[in-house]
Amino acid sequence: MTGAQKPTGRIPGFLRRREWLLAVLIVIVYFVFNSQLPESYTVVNLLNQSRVYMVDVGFMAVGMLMVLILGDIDISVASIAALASTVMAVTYNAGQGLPFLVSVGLMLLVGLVCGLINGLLVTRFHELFPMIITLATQTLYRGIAYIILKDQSAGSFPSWFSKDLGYGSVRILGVEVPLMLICILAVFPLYYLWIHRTAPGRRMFAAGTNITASRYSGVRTDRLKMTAFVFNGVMAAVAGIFLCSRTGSVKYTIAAGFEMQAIAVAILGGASTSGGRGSVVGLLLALVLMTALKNGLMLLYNDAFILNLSIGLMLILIVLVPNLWNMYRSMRTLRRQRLAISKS
Amino acid sequence: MKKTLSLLLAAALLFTLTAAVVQAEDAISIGVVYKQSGNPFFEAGVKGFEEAKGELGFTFEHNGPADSSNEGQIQIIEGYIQKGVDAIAISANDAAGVVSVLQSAKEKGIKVVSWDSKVNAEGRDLNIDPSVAQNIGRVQIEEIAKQIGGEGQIAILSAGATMDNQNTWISYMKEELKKPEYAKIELVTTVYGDDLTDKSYQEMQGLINSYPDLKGVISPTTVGIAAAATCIKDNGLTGKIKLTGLGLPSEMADYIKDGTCEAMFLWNPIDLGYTAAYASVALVKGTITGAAGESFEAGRLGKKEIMDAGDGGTFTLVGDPFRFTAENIDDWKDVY
Repeated sequence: MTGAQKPTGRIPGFLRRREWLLAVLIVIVYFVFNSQLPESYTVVNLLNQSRVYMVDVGFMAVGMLMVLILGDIDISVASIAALASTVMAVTYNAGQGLPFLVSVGLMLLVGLVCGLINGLLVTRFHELFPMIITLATQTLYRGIAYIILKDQSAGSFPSWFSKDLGYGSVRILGVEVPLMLICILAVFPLYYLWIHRTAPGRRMFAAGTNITASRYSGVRTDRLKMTAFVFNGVMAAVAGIFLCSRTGSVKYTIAAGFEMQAIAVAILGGASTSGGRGSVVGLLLALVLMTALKNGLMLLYNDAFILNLSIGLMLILIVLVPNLWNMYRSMRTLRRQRLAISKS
Repeated sequence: MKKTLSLLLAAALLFTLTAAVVQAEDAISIGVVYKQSGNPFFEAGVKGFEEAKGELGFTFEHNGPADSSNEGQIQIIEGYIQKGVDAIAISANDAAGVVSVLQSAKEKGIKVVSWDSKVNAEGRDLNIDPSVAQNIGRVQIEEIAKQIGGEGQIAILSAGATMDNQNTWISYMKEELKKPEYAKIELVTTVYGDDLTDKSYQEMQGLINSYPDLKGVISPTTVGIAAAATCIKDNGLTGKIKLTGLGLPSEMADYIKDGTCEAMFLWNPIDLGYTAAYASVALVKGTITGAAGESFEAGRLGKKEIMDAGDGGTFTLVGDPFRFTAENIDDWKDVY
């Protein structure tokens, strides 16, 4: 969580908490689009569309949040998802073919190994920025996926995989809720407990805030980082599973660009690239906001460029404006103090 | 006080944005999806939809992903399903990759027509093929053979390896090359530019570097042939490496005139979109079901027969590929 903040400035108190700000924005976005598109932009349809906008990016963002809390970054997640998906599709289809669930297990293993490699590189070479290391592994992992698949695609998964997991839904209180939405929502309470309510979770925030202080107070920061990167890798593979269930086919370009969406949504949810900050509730709300916004824009403008632009604007609005405000506040306080000193 | 103020502001924003509410009418609506946005070939295809719209009175929207991705197409299709379109007309980036989402569309009663590049049979009602695939493959081999004088190394610069139209044409090209008159022609490789200009250019550069004896290149895709022409010219190889394929007259006119590409082919993309529009409307109205043996009227193009495609689905044809050369290019470069 962002921690208790002293009431400063004129932004209404409750909006200063990121979670509340996001919640208010969700309500505004919903009503704005709903009034424009009363027939197609409904809660039921939004639930349905969460498949497209919320689930695969969501799983990546779950992993990313932990990495960001520790003050690191991982831009190789989309490539991990691509490599894991490729391995799954190829092992399932190759020659004799593995049983499907074994292939999926292998996929998670690939995610784990990729995360492990990222983690090892980051913790063994402190002088290198995680951004640079994962930039390298980003091209490496996707490159391996390309070597395996070349320009072809692989697929023909069991029909239940796309029918039930990809497009299946469960009827809850008379509303069709996509199965994959339930899957990702189930992760959040557990994740909340892990990050915000356990000692290791707390240590991550501490290490992210001041890694040197944490190390001197006996926290094994490298081990925490390894945990985060491995978890992140596995989550990327999980994202790949859900993505494959929707597409039914894998190409080496699958999930291209998703890492930036995952980082954007985590930061929108209250995380910071400088570490020590982040909120599971905020992340969930940011995902909902992104789904609501993107889907509305898609329906209104039907243009992919506008979707990306909107996320950029939203990021600037939410991240930059409070920062500028704080900057202005501290400058004013400073001026007042100087004035007081010069008077005395 | 501050809370009230912020809520008031939010409410004001809401009302200004909702001032103009326009709601859909009862006309048939079609959602058009193409391989990528900003591709002039599909802009011409959309002109065909416009033309048919004027005659049939339906509404349509069109969109394609910026990055030729399968995920992007799924996102667009899901949006169309949510809006409740009556038909989806798609040129697929991955013949298998959109089957699941299109099946979910069909379950909701939406008709699916694929045009230009087909969707696997399970995901479509009807495919609109520009021309007999075998002819498209054959004419390009004949042309390159003529240009390089019947012997030497050639290569193919395709779009995406998952794009069904490209693969079918290439397989017919390989078939054609087995004929004895082409015995001295060696197809060294097929590379893929994914219909992205920069990647196509790099692949062409790669071909030039890897095969110093390369005599000719076939690029059966409008993005690829334009990038290949630029690359050949940039390397000062005009006339040394011959080029043919499928290109847009508007993009290729200069290269055809300066001899980088002596001749190329294409059918009319406007007619392709036009036929896809007529087929979509016929399917929605129920005059056809998309079964082999049926036929429908496609406006100025006349009656179109629906045939068995041999992949479990059906298709119909638009026309024959047309040969563009320095003599006739000026007549076409402003059309599409």
